[in-house]
Amino acid sequence: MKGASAALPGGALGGRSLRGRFTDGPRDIALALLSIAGMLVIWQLTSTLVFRSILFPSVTQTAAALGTTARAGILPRDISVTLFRVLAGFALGSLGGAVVGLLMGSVSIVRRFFEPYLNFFRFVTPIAWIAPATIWFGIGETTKLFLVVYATIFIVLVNTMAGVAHVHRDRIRMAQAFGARPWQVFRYVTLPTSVPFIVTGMRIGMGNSFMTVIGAEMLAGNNGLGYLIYSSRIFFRSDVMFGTIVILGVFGLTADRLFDLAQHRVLRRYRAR
Amino acid sequence: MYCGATVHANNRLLTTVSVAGSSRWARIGRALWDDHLNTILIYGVSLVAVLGCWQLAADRFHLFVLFPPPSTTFARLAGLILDGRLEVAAAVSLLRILAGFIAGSVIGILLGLLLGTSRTARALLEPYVHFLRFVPPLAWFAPVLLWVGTGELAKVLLIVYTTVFVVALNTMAGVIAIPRNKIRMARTFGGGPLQIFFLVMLPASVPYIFTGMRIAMGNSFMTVVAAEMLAANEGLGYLVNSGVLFLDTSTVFSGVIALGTLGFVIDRIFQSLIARFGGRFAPR
Repeated sequence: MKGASAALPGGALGGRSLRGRFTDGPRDIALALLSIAGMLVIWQLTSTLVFRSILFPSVTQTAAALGTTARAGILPRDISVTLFRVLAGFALGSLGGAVVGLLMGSVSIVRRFFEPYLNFFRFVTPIAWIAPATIWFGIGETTKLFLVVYATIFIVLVNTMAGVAHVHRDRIRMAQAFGARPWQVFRYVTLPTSVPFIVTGMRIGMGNSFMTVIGAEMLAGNNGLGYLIYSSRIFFRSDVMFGTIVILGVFGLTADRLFDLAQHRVLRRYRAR
Repeated sequence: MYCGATVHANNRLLTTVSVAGSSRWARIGRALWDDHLNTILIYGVSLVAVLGCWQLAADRFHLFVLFPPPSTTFARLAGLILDGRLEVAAAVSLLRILAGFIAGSVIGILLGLLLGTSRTARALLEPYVHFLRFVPPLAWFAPVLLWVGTGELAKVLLIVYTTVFVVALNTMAGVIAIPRNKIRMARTFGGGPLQIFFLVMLPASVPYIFTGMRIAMGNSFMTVVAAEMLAANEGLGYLVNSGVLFLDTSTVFSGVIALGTLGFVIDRIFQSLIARFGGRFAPR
């Protein structure tokens, strides 16, 4: 506390927090940990002393429910099922989005031909397609894959096209001046410039995929984390719901951090200035 | 040319407002025709080609129940519009979205401004914002059903949740992105903390706030449709789902078309808002 109050009045520190990105100093990390610990204590106390209800499980009950479902093998199965759906659909959607996006971005006639549909379909929320998809493919794996692909492909596609449009004219001219053929211009200029845009699209697409797969499993599923949450409702197992929600948050956060890492470390050489 | 001349003559006769409108539309029309003839032609060809393929595929399929042709779909769409079912469903869904979206945006903007201006608040609250924004709103549907039942409140709460974190994070990013020199300049001219907040920070974060709201609006559609499919007896999600129950695929398609159109129109509104207000406040 003393350290915190000493750091606060310093104008320079306050200033840096405005300018800097997420400059996590040791004080910030300490505060964050303190805040998490405080929240857990408050949660535990309110659920055991103030709102004693089956509808509001405590921290320990939630943890116990996670332990029970994990030991019974329900949780590992549902986690692997949901992760498989997300990853498979996401990979297919990203690949499709990047390829079609590069094509549409590079070839003007293809872009003009398909742009109206792109602009229409990307505003149809993926969950709405669960209705036609269940009619066509049933309630099996194909429906969920279709929805996750749909949730990913458009955002990656639009971002990829933006990336291709972002390529500086002078860079293309320079490559051409050095005698590059159209394919070489694409390979050495257009593609590297679009990479950060593609990755940004994939990052947003990953969030959409999680959102979609949970909805799909709630609406038409008999396994997966979305189904686990929704079926817990029937038995008033709010502790299982909370445990699953915590797991979903952890997965989402981990996936996003991995993308962050990829963007800043692996793809550094592609970063647009 | 003739049309343009008429409009021009009207310019002097009519009031300024309608003059601005008519001449503007005429100009836009002419510009479209002159500069984008090519594009319009391609759009036309593309529309005809895709509708033709759709019709052919549906004819080949012979299963109109599962894959209705465009003619059946648009007839159904017209029917739904004429008997008012589509309008009612769209209005119900939009009202739910608006209620949750406005409340969520207000909370999100306030939260984002707090997170952006106070480093302590950011350290304390950021873990929750980052954690909760990765929990899909639909995951909260089951607990919310247990807490508040299946009424309106459940859906509105879910949309508030969908909106808050996206708007908060974007607002925070906007406040953080304000160039130091802008604040320094305001301080040099004697601006107090309150003046700096209202005259520098708030306007500078407006484009970011709008961007966050635009993304949140898209997500709200996803949430409301799923919520209406799971527990509702009105709204676009319910309309689509009832089409599935009665194997009425043309109703399903009509609902999907309505959703796409609504989403597109609302996104365009946000785009023009960003262009209108964002440009003035754009950070440099």
